[in-house]
Amino acid sequence: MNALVEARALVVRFGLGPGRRLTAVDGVDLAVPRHATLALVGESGSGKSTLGLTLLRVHRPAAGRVLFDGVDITDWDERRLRALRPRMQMVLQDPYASLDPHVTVGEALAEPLRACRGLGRAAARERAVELLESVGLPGSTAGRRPHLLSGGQRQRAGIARALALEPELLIADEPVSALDVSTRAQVVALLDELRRRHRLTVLLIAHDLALAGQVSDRVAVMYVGQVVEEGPAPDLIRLPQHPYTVALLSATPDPDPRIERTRPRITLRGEPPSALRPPSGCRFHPRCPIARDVCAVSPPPLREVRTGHRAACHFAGELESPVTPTRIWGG
Amino acid sequence: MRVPRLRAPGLLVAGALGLAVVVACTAAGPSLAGFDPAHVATADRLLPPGTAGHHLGTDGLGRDVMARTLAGFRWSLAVALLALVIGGAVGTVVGVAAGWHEGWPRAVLSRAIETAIAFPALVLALAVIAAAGHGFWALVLVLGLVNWVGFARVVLAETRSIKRREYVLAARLLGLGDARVILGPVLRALRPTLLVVSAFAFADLLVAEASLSFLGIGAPLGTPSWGGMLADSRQYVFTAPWLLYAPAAAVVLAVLTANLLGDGLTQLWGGGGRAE
Repeated sequence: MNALVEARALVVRFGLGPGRRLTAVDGVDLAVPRHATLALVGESGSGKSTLGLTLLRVHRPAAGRVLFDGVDITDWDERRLRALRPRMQMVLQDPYASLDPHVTVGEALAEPLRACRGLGRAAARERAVELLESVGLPGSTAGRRPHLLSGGQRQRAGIARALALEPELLIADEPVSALDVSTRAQVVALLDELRRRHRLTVLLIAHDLALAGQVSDRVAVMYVGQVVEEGPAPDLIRLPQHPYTVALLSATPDPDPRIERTRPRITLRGEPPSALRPPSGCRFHPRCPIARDVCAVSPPPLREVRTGHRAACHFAGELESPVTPTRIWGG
Repeated sequence: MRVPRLRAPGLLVAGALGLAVVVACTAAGPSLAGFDPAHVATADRLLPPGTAGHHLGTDGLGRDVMARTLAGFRWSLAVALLALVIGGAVGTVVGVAAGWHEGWPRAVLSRAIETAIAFPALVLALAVIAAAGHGFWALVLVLGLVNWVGFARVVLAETRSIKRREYVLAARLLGLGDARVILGPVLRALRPTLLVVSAFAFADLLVAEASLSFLGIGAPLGTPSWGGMLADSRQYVFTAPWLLYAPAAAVVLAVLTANLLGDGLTQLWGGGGRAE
């Protein structure tokens, strides 16, 4: 497979003080195919943002490799990475925190153009206006400070900034979760349009599996630092192989009240376990409705269940889809 | 008794008024008094205020108190301002370096800052003046050396928190080098903090300058400075108390102004971190 960015057996740990270490990402194998969109889905704390930041080499992995465009960048120092950064960009989660409140949007966009592209002041400013217009903002936005913009406008500005250096890889970390429901669809549509126009490779980090499934080619589901299921988006949504994926799909209500009333679903009990002390065996077993004795002892490997569709469950593929997932909006 | 709490605009207005008076006095200088501050006239010594054209009287050598007090503005403000620039620059550089680089650079610089805080300032001042001699630049250097620590400590803490802000991460992700990120978003975010710290540091510097001059290790003998004037006035406290009033009032005015501005800005910015 021709992957633009790839994690191989990636482990990321954070020190929380003497003797206390949190393993945020624990042995992840994941490849984002070139020019495709891969959605990385999971609950908060599942390690999906950490994985994204490690693929950009903001964090240094404790073990495993990070490959970008076939090149191993795991041990690159900041100086070498700096030259690579323009090719890999990120849209950050909180549009209220990700723009510098002290400068206008235009200056924020012009800064990387002048530093990394060597544009002059006037040329950078002109390009900033073009970029803002390309994400559906009026050019006059360039003269404004972020506090005058709405959340949706700020996120558009954040997307414009990420595209300023014409990256190949765009990692969008929950780009719409901080926005009003009414503006979410617009921003998602914008990302999709820009992806096509610029032939981007996108890693979309999200917690809404139904939404993510609609705009991506592939979906990976994370649970407590591990990928539990990964496959083509329609396949994964129609025939989920891991009970956790089924549970995530159950969380989305069906617009049809007759189906909604009668549809079977898995409702998860309890909180996701802490990554500080992950459960033995399969990490999902304490909450899993189909868990058996083996699940508490032996961790299931991520194995191919169908073509290009992997799942980490002892019973993946053996069982009929344990619960019929709900119909997906527009799907 | 409850003192009504002044809100930010009130503090700022009071501070601005004080600043206007300080600036006017500094700009006008001793010429406003109509006498040369250094002119000695033994025949006219210890004249009470209002006699022979001396609005605030004369001192033990017959020098005009008003002219000397006004000249003191120029001396004190010049010393304090230059010491502020030196201390602010050194403290900001050290603080940003320690706040930005995790690991051993931060550990080493933090210990250095703590050591400097613990070191008695007066001993340091005596040592430097003993080595470098008396004079304007020696005084500026001493005060700068004492002053940088306050900046470094606050800037260190603030830089650590700024570094975690998402827009700083965004700048790094764009491929901007450390220098560009520090000179850009980090320094911009530090501006309000620096302004507030500067105001309070300036007040401290004025007091420190007056103290050193009072002790005779600040302004050289004969230089019209508030601390020196206060020291001279001691022997005439009961016979010519007016010698005390003018320089003391000038110190109070200048220090109060700086503190009012600092307090006003702090309240305006809610602790000095946010600009919006």
